[in-house]
Amino acid sequence: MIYLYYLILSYNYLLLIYSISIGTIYLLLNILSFKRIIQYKRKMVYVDLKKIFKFQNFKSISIIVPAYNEENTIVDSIMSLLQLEYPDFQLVIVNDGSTDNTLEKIFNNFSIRQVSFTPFYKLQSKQIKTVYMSHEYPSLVVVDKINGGKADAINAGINIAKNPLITVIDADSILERDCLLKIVRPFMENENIIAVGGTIRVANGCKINHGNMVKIGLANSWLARFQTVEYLRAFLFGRNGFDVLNSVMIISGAFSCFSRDALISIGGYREGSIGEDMEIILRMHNIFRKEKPETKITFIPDPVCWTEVPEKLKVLRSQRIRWQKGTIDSLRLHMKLLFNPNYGALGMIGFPYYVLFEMIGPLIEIFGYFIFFFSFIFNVVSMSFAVAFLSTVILYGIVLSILSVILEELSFKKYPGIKDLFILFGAALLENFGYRQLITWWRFKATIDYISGNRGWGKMEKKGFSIHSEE
Amino acid sequence: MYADNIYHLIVLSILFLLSLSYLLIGFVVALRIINNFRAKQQKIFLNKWESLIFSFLENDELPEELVAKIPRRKYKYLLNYLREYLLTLGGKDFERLSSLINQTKLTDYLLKKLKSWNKSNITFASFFVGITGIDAAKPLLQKNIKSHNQQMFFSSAVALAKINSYDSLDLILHEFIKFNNLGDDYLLLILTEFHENICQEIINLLTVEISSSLATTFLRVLRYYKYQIAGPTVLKMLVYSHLTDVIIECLKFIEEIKYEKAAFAVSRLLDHKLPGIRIQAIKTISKLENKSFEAKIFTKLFETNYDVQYQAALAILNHFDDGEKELSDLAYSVDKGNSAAISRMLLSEKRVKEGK
Repeated sequence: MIYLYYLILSYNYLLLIYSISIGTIYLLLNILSFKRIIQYKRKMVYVDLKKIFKFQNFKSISIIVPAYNEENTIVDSIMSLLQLEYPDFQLVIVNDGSTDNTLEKIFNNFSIRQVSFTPFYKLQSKQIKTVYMSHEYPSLVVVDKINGGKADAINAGINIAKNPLITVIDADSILERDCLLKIVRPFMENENIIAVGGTIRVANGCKINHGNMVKIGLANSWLARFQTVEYLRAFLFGRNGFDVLNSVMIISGAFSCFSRDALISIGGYREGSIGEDMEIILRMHNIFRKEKPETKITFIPDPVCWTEVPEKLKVLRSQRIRWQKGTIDSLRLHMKLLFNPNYGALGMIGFPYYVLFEMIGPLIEIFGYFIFFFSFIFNVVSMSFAVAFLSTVILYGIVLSILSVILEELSFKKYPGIKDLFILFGAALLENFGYRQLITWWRFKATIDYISGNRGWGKMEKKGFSIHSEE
Repeated sequence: MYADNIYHLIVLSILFLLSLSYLLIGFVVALRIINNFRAKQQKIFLNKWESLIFSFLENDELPEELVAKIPRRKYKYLLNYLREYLLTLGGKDFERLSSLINQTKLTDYLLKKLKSWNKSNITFASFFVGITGIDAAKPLLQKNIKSHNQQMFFSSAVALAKINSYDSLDLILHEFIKFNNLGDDYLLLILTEFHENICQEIINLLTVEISSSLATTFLRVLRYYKYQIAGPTVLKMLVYSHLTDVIIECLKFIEEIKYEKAAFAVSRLLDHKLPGIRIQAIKTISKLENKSFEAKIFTKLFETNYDVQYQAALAILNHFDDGEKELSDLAYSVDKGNSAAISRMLLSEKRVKEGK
């Protein structure tokens, strides 16, 4: 019995150390990010991007948009993408065997005609049936292929893409008009860069007209507001902080840019992958940094892609379960990076962080909450321990969420109204009472599912801007 | 007891961080309120003075007469208002608006700001003295450019370039090297703020030994101004350089100014070992419209590198007299592999573009 007592007590201590560690790591990441974002902002203030691109010193981009059953939004999305500011880009829409009228909608709106095609590269993908090109917009290419999933569709797009840089975006994402000008800058400044990610923001509550952002605002639902704060925390200081350590482990699939040669040489996206966006980044680190340690995958805080987040718990739940399984799957595939000094800070800090806090973290936390609760009831831990533990879990969380909103306000100030600012601070406070714990619970369930062999990613529910669009 | 002390310390530390966060909330909210107030003041200024500024543009009112009507404390709003117009207007209107700054009390106001210790004041003032060409600001800008602050350096360098202070070129280059996080594009942005005459200085610099990145930036400046006189210097660099970036930039310059005398030197690069150089050489030589190298470009269709093949096919289609026919013959011939497939693709794309 005494052994059990000490075991439980030790677990409580470990849990406290774990909570302090994760909070402190985030605090340090916040400080690193703050410095980086301010430097980035200062650099960008006096850069006339449009003039820089007049020097004809840019690399052309192929934007690949995998589309599956997007009939409601595809026309607006294409129109919006065609209006992006960039001197030379090709837009490749990959119709991944849609069963609705996605292809017909494109046919009817963009006067596309069949062209002869030759895949530039031979990445594995399901058969391409036809390639079309628009007479009205010659930069628009439509690939019609047999359904094979997102990774497969992207690979097919890469095979057809003509330009040295590849940007992959989701069909229902909204890009800011100058985002390509910004995301390409790192490639122009540093030839060792092979991939760049951009910030994703929550579009719920924004006014969107025909695929274009008209007015930035906050959602009415608190669930979406919590996610807004969560995205700020993840993108503004999570990824920025890891970028300082050259340890970016994930670039969002909703908006990423790659060197085509790098993608080709690693064989493109992995078919059947659950978390294809993380897996490809880890594979890039794995392959390139072993050969060439100066290779860099970076993250830019500014180029903004807006995406709609779930406002229903059921949808959010399945999204988070999918993300967690994807994270575990990707990490598991590249375990050789763990504590591998050949990969620098990525092997020694970034990867271990993800394994400890993202992969097995939910298990530690959920077991921890139960054990702490019963320990407290049965007086295994003292009142002062309980206060300290709850402070690290709740109050430290509030500090970090508030800091992410402050970082946003001191840097990009995307939300114009002072009322929005107060709402964000409110969400930063409230998300620590229930929302974060709920997310951890779902991640816990996903981890258990994954361990017990249930690795499917379930049905993905479609999002769309049409409902919220301003007509 | 010892453990309790540690728990208290943890709680106190977190409470301290929490209090700090709330203080920061107060700070950012105050900042937001101040910014909103300034924006409101700017709007009030606009409502009151915009019509007067527009009528100033249309009549012969003396600039000092208009500025005299505006209280000194409103100068910042006036300058903020003028900023966008100064960036977008040209010709007579630009001269008139500039006169509001460089022929009035605003000059002294800006010079005073340039002398201040406040970095944002200096950056603010540098923009206006540069764009309106206030020569008297030169010594102050040359002093400020030596700052270790990136923003002060950049704004001072741009201002010196805008007032065409050619004698500051060495100083700008020397100071630029200090900032290793500033890419070459920033130098390019500064140098292209000079008048075209800077190109002569740059040609002189290209003849001395400089780094690859500096040489590339200089070549880009020459290309930006399409500076024909630099043709022989660039050709010499093309022939003697072994640096990939420099060779590619030389080729781009030759392409931009269509320097036909370089055709032979460019043609030799069609067989360069690096595909990037071969691709650029094809682009350049096809723009020179020199028929004697068409056969050589045609052979590039049968290379092993896909990008080179594609570029060669594009050149044939867009620049050869019988390019379309030549590609058609190839497209439907047998056993031509990639070259036939690329030809078919380009021809079908051309037909779609032409609406056929």
